[in-house]
Amino acid sequence: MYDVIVIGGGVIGCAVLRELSRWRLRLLLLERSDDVASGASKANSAIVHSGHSAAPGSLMARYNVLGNRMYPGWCRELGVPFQAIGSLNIAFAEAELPGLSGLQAQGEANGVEGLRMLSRAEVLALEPQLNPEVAGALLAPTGAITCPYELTVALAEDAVVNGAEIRRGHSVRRVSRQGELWQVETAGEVFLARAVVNAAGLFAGELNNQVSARKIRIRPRKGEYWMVDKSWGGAFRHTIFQLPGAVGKGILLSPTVDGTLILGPTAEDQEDPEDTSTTAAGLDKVLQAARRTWPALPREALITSFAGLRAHAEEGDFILGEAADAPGFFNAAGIESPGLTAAPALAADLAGAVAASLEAEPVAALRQKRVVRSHFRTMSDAERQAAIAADSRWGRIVCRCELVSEAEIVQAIHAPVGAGSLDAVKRRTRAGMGRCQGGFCSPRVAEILSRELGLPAAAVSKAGGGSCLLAEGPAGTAAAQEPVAAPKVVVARVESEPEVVIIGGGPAGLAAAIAAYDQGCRRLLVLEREDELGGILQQCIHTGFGLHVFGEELTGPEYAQRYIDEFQRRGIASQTGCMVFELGADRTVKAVSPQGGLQILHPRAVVLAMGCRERPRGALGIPGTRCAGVYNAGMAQRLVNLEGSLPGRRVVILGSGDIGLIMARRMVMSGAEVLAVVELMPYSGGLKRNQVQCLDDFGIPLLLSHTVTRIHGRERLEGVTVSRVDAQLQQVPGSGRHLACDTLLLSVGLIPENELSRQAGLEMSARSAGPLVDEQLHGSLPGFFACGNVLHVHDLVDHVSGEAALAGRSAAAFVGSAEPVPVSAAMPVAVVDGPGVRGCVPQRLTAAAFRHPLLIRFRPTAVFREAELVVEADGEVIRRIAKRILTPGEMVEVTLLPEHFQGGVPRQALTIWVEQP
Amino acid sequence: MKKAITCIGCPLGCPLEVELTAAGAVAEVQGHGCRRGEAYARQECLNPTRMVTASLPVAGRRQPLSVRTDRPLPKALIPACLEAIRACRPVLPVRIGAVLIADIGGSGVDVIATRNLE
Repeated sequence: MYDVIVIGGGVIGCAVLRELSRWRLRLLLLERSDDVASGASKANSAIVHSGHSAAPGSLMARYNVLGNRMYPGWCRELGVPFQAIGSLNIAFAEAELPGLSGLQAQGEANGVEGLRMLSRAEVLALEPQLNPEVAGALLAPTGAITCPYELTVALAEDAVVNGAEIRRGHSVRRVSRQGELWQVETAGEVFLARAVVNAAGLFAGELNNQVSARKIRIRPRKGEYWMVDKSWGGAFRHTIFQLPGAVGKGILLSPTVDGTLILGPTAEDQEDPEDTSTTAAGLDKVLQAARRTWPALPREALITSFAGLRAHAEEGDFILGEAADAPGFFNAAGIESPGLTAAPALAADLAGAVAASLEAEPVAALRQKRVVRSHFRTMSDAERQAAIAADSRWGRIVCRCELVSEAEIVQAIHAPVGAGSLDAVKRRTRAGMGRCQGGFCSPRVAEILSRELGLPAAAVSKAGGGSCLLAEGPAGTAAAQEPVAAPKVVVARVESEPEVVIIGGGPAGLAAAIAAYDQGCRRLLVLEREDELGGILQQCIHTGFGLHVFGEELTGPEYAQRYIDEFQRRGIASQTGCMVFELGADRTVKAVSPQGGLQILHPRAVVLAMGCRERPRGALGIPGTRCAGVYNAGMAQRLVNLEGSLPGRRVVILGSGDIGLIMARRMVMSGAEVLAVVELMPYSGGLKRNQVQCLDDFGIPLLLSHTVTRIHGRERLEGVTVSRVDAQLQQVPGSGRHLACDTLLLSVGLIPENELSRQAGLEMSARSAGPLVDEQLHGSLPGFFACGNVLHVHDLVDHVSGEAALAGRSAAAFVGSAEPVPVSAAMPVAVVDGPGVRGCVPQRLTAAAFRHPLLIRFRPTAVFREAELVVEADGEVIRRIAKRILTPGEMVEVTLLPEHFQGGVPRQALTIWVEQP
Repeated sequence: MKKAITCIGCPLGCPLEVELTAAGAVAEVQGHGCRRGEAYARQECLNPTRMVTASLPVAGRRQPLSVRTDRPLPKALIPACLEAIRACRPVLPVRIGAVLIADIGGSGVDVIATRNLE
């Protein structure tokens, strides 16, 4: 028997539970999902509204303004981020200005303080990225932002450490009166309580209507959003609202407390309270409206999209308090925006009313303090150092994009309201919320969940229920139960500070190190974030590596081992499990590892060899649900080849580059069925050999000029819609067909991992997606060299090794020279991409470039047959090379010899283009 | 009898058409753009081969052992090869190049380890 049962673990339910924990009451909260904050509280704009938008006299207006005032103190108490960044309502035409004045008057009537009209010049001074067509704005300084799910978790934990009980995975079916008590039934259990708080969000109407004659009708109202990567997070400082009535009614753009930007939401009413899928129309609408606010919004800035459902009551206002005909049944229904803002004030009032009705005594003892968990990314270096010294798991970075350490994940799992799924870990730590969207860290987080909770690998889920991540866990007999062995990590023995630091111990880093050593450089250090050297090669167990370098057809691990053997024979120092997370223009390298702790190095040269990452689903914006079963192909390759798991049984693959093709064969050979490989372009990006040997051999259809246009499935993937595209790559209406599958593998592009390069301030090339380099692979800042997939994405590891050896020799020469050349001044000649050519590397040539064989690599922009490559030096054609075929899937190499420049070396530009008769 | 195959020699991917005699010999190759294409067509019709790569679970180890054939295996022997790999229980430690399964189906082709596993 409980005194109060709160139904619903959103921000309102958890806030009410926490307020109730101030009284001597037996409290229980029931949440239908596997975690609190799983409904609207995880999928909203994260705004603490000032209060000018609510109708005067409404409950919304009252609690918005009261809540807004309570927020700073509330978040401080709970240890939750809160930033009073202020909001701007902008008008795009003179005609809209009276609308702003109306809003100001309404806000003042509601008691909002500090509202002020801004002129066009004033608003543009505050927000330089804003559309210059802006006519004026209303500034609300009390507008703020918070993190709604972190807040909800904090409220839940605070309530639990103060005696409340929370049961998750308990969906309430029925509430009924049993004498003096309320009976609350879930799937398998019955609970009794003296009072019930109905904070069931979208289901609050249904529950109320079981006990009260005063019916409540809740309509799910969908809001779709886009997230912008934190690299662009600084573009805006305020929350920017457009005036309702403009394109995309009420669509906002706002910074988040995590440094990203959020764009949205739409507002579409629907019947289904569980359908949180995104739609092509909705996502497009958000993007268009956001571009009106931010015309320069780049497509590549978008990292993911999602949808949330508001619980809109037909009354259009909050429904609060005891139902007149059901004493002891308290509603907090119809809580839509500004519900998050209203939460503190509303919860205090509602809990007060419940406590009064039960004649409860206040708790006399001091409240227990909830432990506020720290995050590696926000700690000072001294705090990081101390944390790692106390527990080395602080030094193991699991999520690279958001710098989340293993210690944080373990703490989140064992917290008072602990995380039991990937998404629950994500909401508490941000692991998987960054630009790669869990591409690297999900298998690791899953492994930690399995270990800490004693779950078999195949039982770890994305968000509880049937959202399992794997069809089969590791096959290695007893391996599934075996605890994960401590990684064998090598700590370097460097006697003195290294002269050259190589970031990345994959094929590029290894070859660069060996070449630098052979050039005489001895004070070398390779920093590798994985637990072993070799990089991505270790998971590429197929053959096709080494034909150029070794004249043999090797697998990835064999190729890697040959370089590792050479590396170790020379005794070159390396640290594995070591993540470089900061790089300065002065070559300050900050790295962290469990064994080495926090290290700050100052080498004379840095070789960038960080490789690349896979483009995630979120960046593509494929509409549909966010269920389990959607993997990047490379991640699936890791799961199958390195972890011995099977991600799924019925597979569709999007993208026919080599990784997609190789994985098609691999999945079939692992016992799965591959229904189709779907390719947007009219040609495959992969080698002909792979098309024949990976698809044709197994009868797997290749659907050219097709793409996946929708993802279906609530928990685990249930199918995808595949549609034809026209010559403009636009979906052909009516061409969609459903393919039932449990797994979608994405092989849709690789992105060089240049976050450190940008942080250092290196000039980047938009066309090659890597640092701008000269023929020595020297970047735009002295002492920085780049090679391998971080410089530009290669097809053949043999070429990576060759390129990296050059970078290694160059770095060694730079360190060895008495007066290293300042780079920018020495880079006068540009290598220019002409028609049909994309991403020439190097992009700049020094005068020395023409005295030696000069190798230039690039990709064709399309398929060309019977074409000629034309090389032009300052307008003079110096070379023509006949090519029977050029395809974007195969990088082209052009070597220019000193004799090609007999007519004189270019002073301005060396241009390469494709000529087709 | 005619057989259609795609040439894998280069990105052109010439569609090859091979005329086979009743005895299964190659009578004529059409559609090739170069000599390598013609040779591939003959090889692919008379004795198609593939490099086989796979991984197999190792008792008590989380990480599977990756393996390959030491040279291309006649295509018809691939199912037998995969069967033998599935049944293989290697004894650790294993070094790269160690022969795990010898002479698949009398072909002379071996299955070797492609990783060191201590």
